[in-house]
Amino acid sequence: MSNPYETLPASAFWRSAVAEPGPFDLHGLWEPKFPVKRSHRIVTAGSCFAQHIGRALAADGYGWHDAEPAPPFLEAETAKRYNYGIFSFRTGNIYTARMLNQWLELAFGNAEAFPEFWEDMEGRFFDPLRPSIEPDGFASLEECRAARARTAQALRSAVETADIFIFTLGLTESWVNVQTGMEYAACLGTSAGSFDPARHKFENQKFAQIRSALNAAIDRLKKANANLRVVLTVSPVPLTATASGQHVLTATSHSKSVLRAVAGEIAQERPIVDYFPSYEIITHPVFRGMFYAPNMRSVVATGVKTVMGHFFAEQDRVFPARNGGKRSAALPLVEPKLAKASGKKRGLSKSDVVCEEEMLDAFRPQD
Amino acid sequence: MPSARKIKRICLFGDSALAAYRHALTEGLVQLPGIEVEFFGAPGPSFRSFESLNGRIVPGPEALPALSLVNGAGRTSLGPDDFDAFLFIGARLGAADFVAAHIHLARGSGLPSRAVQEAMAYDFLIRVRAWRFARDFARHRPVMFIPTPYPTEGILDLSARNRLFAYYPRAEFATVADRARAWQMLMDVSQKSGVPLLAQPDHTVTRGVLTQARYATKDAAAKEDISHKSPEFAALMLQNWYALWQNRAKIDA
Repeated sequence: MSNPYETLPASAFWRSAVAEPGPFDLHGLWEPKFPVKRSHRIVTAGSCFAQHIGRALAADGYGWHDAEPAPPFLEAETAKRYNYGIFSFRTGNIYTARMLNQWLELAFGNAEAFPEFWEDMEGRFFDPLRPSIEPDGFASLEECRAARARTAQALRSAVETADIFIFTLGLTESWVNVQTGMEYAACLGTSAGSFDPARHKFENQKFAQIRSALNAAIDRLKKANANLRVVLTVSPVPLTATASGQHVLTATSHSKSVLRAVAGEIAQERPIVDYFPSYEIITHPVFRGMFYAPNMRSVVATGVKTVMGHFFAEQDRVFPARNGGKRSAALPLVEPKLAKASGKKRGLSKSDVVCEEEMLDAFRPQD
Repeated sequence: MPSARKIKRICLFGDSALAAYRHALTEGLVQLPGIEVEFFGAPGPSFRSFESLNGRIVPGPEALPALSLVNGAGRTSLGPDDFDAFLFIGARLGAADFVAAHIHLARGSGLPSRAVQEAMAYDFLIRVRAWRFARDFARHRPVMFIPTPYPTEGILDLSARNRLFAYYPRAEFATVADRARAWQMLMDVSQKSGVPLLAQPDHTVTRGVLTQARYATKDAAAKEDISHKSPEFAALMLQNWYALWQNRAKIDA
């Protein structure tokens, strides 16, 4: 008697697809829907991990688009300190779909939306949508507003002219203003602002809410640029801290599972949206956690290389002619030697990733 | 900040921009009463070989012949205690680049925050070796820096590839206010490190960030030389420096 599994490819079976090849020889993890070409203008936004993707694409000669470049003369380190060249525009990390929608509202809807700004005791001003964008805040409210307007304009121009928009979902946990509903980029009082339990509340966003927000964001992107294609990823970086009341490990599992499910469903439903499994490549048990630094949170360089190796390899496999037949540079899949070293000093992440979330760690209770 | 009161000997340190200053002094276009002047430097290619060694500016071997000619007093290195004050001239500090970039931003997408502008200015200055020399010397003696003047107009097409207006086209249409704001930013940041900059007088400037043709060096058009200026220009800058110095000496007194 025959059954539907008999005609399935080897990739459908754990033994042939995973157990036998092992972590260093996995193939076909992604079946890309559309080609990503070197000639494409690619925009990256989202959570910390999106920074790696943009950098890796640029390093391999892809057209990663910097819509808000650093002003002339800034050294690379200075530019990074002021959050230039991290994402395609100076939004800082966009951890949630709702935050992406807020930025899109500023870029394509009401430029005056979200009028809340913070002033500290020294008269410095901070943007609640990106409180760490200037390390010492802005000199005036006017300067803070003008900088936000410039970023919104850069986002608008990037979306209107891009071919590919890569968005990395990071968190479900968020902090919002009770009265206005505005979501903050980080919990108040961590990097800037002052927490007031009467005005600010914690919200662990649910599946339906995130799905709706992400669909709304994609609708907006599509309206602005009918040719735009969207690649979703989920950040493999665990939560620094949770306000959910759960253990941070289970809270991380919950958050990432919800985000992964939303991304997967939307990619199944919408032809212009694809899901690239960078999350699985870093987190799956088959890789035995080898891509994490000893803190089991930071992703080491080998992990990023492996992720991008899969990205380019699968693109080459499905769309071999996409770059005129030229294959991407041989970004190695994981090499056992490097992977082994990743648990030692040599393989540690250099903390190149700029993460507001890191601020939480600085405020954790001390032993 | 070291006092400006007792300046009897000053060193003019720089690259080939020193030539106009030498002419200005020897031709009597400017007087610096009571001040003895000595030159120390070398033209562009060998100027790059100067480096800081144990707090002194020392030439590389390739700069020694030119230095011997420029200095004429047998001095082979320069320390902060060798003179009462130092005037850095040209010395690869092309302020036009910063000013033009700043104006281009201001007249286009808008200037970044003041903090970012200050970072731009600092990163611009710190990569100029002579500015770092000046900063180090300023801890011991009064120092002032006259950056390389704006390019001279009418000699080259500055909108051509890799030239100033190709990078910063909006700078050509700068107003006096645009230019003053850009210059002030650079000056403030340099001053914070103890290195005041001496501004190019506005009446010598044209087309946003260019120097008027009347201040061109001799045969500038034939040599396609947009950098070097006339002895008259150098005299003007020295007069301005001297007036500032006198004023400061009065304040210190």
